[in-house]
Amino acid sequence: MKCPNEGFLQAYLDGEINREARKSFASHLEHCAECRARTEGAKKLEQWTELALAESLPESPLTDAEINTEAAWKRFEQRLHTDDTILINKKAGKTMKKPYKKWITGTAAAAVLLGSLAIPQVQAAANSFLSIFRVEQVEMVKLTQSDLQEIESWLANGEDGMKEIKGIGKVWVEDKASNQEPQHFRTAEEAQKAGYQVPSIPENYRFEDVNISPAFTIHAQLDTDKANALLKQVKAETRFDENLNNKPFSIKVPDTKHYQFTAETSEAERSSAQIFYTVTGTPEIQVPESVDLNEVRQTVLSLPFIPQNVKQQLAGIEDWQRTLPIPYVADDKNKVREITIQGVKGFAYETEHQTFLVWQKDGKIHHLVAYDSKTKKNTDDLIALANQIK
Amino acid sequence: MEVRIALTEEKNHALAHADNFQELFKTYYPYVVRQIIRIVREKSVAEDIAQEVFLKLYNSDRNAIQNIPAWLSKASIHAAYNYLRSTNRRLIRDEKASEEHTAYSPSSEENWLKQEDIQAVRKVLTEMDKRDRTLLMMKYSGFDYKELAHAVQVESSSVGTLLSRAKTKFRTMYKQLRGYQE
Repeated sequence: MKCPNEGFLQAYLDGEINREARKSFASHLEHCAECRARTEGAKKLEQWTELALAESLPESPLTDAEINTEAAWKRFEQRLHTDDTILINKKAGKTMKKPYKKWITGTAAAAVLLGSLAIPQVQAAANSFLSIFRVEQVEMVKLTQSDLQEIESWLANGEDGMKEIKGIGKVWVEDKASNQEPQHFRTAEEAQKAGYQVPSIPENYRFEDVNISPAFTIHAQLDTDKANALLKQVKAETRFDENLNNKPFSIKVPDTKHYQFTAETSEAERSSAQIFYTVTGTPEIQVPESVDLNEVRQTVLSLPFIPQNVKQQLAGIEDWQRTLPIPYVADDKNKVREITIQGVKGFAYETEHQTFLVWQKDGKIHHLVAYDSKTKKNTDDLIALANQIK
Repeated sequence: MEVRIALTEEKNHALAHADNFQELFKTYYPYVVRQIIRIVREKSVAEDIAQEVFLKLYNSDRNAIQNIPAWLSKASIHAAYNYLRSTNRRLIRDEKASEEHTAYSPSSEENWLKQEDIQAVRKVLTEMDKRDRTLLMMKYSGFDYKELAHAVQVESSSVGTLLSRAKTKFRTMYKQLRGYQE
């Protein structure tokens, strides 16, 4: 057995792996001092987290008798009877929810856009680098808190049936090629030996580890007549191109490498103890030749769950086919600005607890995150580090 | 990867009592209030939020919910933190609540964390990524990977990695806030 990644260690500690894997890891532990140390470290972090949560969120001392369930139910019942809006919502929910739900299911394109829009934070979105088209540039799309709520509340009703698309078509994920397991390397040398190119590490930082997520492809095949009937039903203005009818289209996401670098110098000389660098190839969509990408774009933009002002911003991206929209939340705490990294345009996203850079170079999307960089001129420091990673 | 199609498992519709909302309410109300009160610390506030949580449950398609306690736990955590974030009174309340907290702590010697540490943890929890927070809190409420995966809409196989990262971030933000030297 090779040294497993952090996720496996965590699952091991949580008793969430099968007996066989457990056994083989136990015997691996016997002769791998490094993994013993890692397991020990993970255990310590686990204990600290458990303690911190248990003490900071103490169990309520209320007894059952002190929680008046009967009174609460009466209050709730009263609300159901008096509050008309609830009943209306409920009705609307019944008729409207279902087609919406299945509609999401029906389109990979929608799902992809959803994938990037549904996540409230850029950092999360960055983990799912995806676009509808081959991406050659990155653009920020601004969301406000109320946009998020709109998407969120809509999604909250859409928990059901992401897979079920009766009569409309099918969507499937081509499993990571069987020989391509997620991989984890503890040293740059190991990664290189396995055939992965390792970037230059910024000065005064050392290689911590790299996780490699394999490439995968999402496929979809739709009956556009039926999909359009649904679009009509949900009062969307546009329709799918009939050339797309029953033809498979797919979105290919190349493999992604997640590196972690750790500072070797003291606090005074740097601003981030750890930096996380991710690089991925540009996602690609493949559609039948006869299909007009721009029409697909229009259709996607008309999906009912995208708030109006986000639609406008998405529509405002001129070179849609080559652009990856990255959503960010705009409020007084979170800022985004344009920067230059390694001679190309990029974006810096700053929040109270993280600084996030994204740029695109040589057909790859790069991002670099620090979670503890609230101190001083954090973004400039991070940009300086980014310039050293090549 | 947030695309959820084809990754979700076949739904398990076996939920015999879903139709009887009153029964659901009465079974789980104390659980929900307890969960929320740990976060907001005020009983009356927790009771109000619990009403909202059940209203949301009432308006949801309950047949589609695999695990009612997990759903309620997630909804309670979200609602409680939304409340905390939406009020500026957080700090005032925290101060007030910390007095109450000391009042019912078993004994101060048994506490491993100092009061400032606890405040820091609570602040980090309020500010951290929602998905990370949901994972951490549900994990330590005893839900398993399958339930966590469903709650944050990822594959079960990614839960270990996400949890491990969430803990690292949690710890890093905490240290940052407490001004620790690494």
